[in-house]
Amino acid sequence: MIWEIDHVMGIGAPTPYSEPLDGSPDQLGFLLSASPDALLIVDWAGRIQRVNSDAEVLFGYSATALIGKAVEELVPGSFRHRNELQPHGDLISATVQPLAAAVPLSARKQGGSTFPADVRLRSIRIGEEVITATWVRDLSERQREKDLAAGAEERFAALVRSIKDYAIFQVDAEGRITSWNDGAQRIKGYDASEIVGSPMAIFFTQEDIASGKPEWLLEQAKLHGRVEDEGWRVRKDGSKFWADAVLTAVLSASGEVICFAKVTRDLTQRLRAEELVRTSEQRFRAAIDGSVDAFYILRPVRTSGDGKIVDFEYIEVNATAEARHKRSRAELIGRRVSEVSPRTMNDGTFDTLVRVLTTGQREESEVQIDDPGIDIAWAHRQLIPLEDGLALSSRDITARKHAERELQLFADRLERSNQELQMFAHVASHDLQEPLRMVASYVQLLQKRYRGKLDADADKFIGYAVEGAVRMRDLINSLLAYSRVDSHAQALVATDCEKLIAGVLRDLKAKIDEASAVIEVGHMPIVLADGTQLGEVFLNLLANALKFRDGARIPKVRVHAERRANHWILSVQDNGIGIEPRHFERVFRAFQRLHARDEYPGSGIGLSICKKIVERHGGRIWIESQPGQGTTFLFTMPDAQAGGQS
Amino acid sequence: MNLVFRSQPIEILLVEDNPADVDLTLEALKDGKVSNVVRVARDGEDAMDFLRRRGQHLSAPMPDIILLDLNLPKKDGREVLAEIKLDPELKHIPVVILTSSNAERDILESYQIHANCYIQKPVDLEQFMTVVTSLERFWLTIVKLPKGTDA
Repeated sequence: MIWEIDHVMGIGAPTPYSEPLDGSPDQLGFLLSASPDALLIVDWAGRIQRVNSDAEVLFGYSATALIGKAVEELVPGSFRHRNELQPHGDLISATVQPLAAAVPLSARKQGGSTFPADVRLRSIRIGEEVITATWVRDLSERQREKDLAAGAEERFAALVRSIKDYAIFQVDAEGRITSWNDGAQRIKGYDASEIVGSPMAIFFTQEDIASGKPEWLLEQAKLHGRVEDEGWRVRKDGSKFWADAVLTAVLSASGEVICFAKVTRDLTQRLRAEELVRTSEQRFRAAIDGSVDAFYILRPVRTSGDGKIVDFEYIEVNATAEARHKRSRAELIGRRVSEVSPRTMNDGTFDTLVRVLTTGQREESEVQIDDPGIDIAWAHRQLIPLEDGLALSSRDITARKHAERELQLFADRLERSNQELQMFAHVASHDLQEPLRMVASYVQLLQKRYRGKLDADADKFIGYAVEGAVRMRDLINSLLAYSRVDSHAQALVATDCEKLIAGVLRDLKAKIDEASAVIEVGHMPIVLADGTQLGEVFLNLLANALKFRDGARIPKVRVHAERRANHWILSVQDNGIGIEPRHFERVFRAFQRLHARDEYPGSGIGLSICKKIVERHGGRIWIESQPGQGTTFLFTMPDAQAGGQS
Repeated sequence: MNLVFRSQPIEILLVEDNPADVDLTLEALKDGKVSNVVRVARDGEDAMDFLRRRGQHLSAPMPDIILLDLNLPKKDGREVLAEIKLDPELKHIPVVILTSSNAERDILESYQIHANCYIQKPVDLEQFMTVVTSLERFWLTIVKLPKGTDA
């Protein structure tokens, strides 16, 4: 920039300089040394006559190198402008006369590098000569700062432009749009070229335009500095969206509106979220009102002094709760628990509520309700702590509790009945032994002593009596054995099936040899059982396998064990006469025989004893059979390790 | 089985209150191989009178073996057993408990009071016969009995 200055000592109102300048070296020298900037004294031909030390530093040349150089070499264009200057004879009067247009000059220092320069000229007449005092200031620093500032400004503008979530734009004092950003494009649909220059009203709905809203907003912003508005806005494609817009007035120092800044936010998302919340609220309401359980939300009531909880207030209740208390929602909300349900203050409920609230732990319990104001007798309660309150859900289990009690009573009766029956069976069969013994023994004695000594009928009659007595004996023994399953029951312990079966086979040795049977025993497990009883099961099944053999082939019996999750399936398989499927259930019933007494002996109690024993161990017993080919009896026993029920 | 010659028949004391059982036992002993004389006491007191030669049994012989039922009137069989086994004059006599009970408690108790053996009366006649003849064979022919104190 070139400024013509007249006044060297200061800018402002001219002060007369009393001494006329006569160009003597002393005066110039003074000027040179007093100057704060680089100073070149240039002759009318444009050549440098004198310099100061600042100039040496600035241009990088020594004074001697500078003297004689053309000033144009250092500051191109500077000498040219001297023609526009008025030569002055002295430093008196004249005011600063800036040139109409600022021209940036580029000065050159030693080495060739350039720097932006602020050049000021003053022509001075010294005698017949006119010299031009040329002040040069290095503007690099200032330029850098300006560039930085401009850079920063530019970056900020770029930032604003790139914001996508908000429409940020400038509106001039008349309401016309003067800038645009990405967010505005995204939200409103227009791009910058289309919209800049249009009035702000273009974004408003017909109704708003008709009612003068845009103008009113501008007025309000002017008056109050800013105005915030929530309302409908229209996009380029005509679609509407709910917006939150802030219009801020940018004022000058004197309070005039320079322009407005508008920031608009699309609240459609928020609206949707609000809608969702509303819908969720409705669903929640529907859910809790539809619930068959009573639902409450309670807030604690504290004393003002120490914050101790003394009561609870109903904040929310559902339809079931209303029905239970026989009060409407309005009659419950805001009321105290102590008022609505006083008994709960003393029956432990209040303490539970306080505890759940203070510990922050959920609790569940079954409580008996003794409150004339509430129409249920038993409830299953769930208490859930909330931020400052509780949610309580209460299920009416009165019916269930009554059913449970009935069931318990029934079970007790059944247990008693069972025990009586058990005792009866035991006593009956035990006490029957004696008279049976008398009858059987003497009838047999009669048979022995008087065979052939009375008439033929007598022998026959006595024969029948003996048979009867023997059958009675067998029956009673069977009954006794059956009742012993319970009366002689022992604890379940780990039992080695292999050892057990070995013992049973020893007991059956005679029968095995008689039948020439082949017995195959697989790997046997350790199970949890009453050893005596399990032995009886194996004994019965193996004896049966031998008894019901097919006369045509060699009896083969296979004992096998198969593992399941926590139990074993044990099986006794034979190749005997088999059982028809329709009899599978019947054989397990007491005294059910499938064959005539003279075909196959036995009282018919063995399998029902097996079933009773297996079921006592928590297992089950069943049959697989092909009539004419063979039968497999299978039953389950708990594994000794798992100790679980099958 | 060798026939054993004995100069005198074996003295058996049967303590049994049930006449039916008395007859059965007698019937079974009749079939036996050893000549024997059976005396019957109907209750516990009668049994002790006999053994102590009291009351109506002043001249009763000392039995070589006693067959004792547990359930007796007046004095219970267990008491009788205890008294016999505590009496220095009587405790040498073998006592066979012959009873209808098979209760574990009775069996244990009997052995604890030093019964020589315990037999449950079988329901079946044949079995009963077998038991009695086995008894006879064991105690009266195989086993050595001390000669009676008043032999």
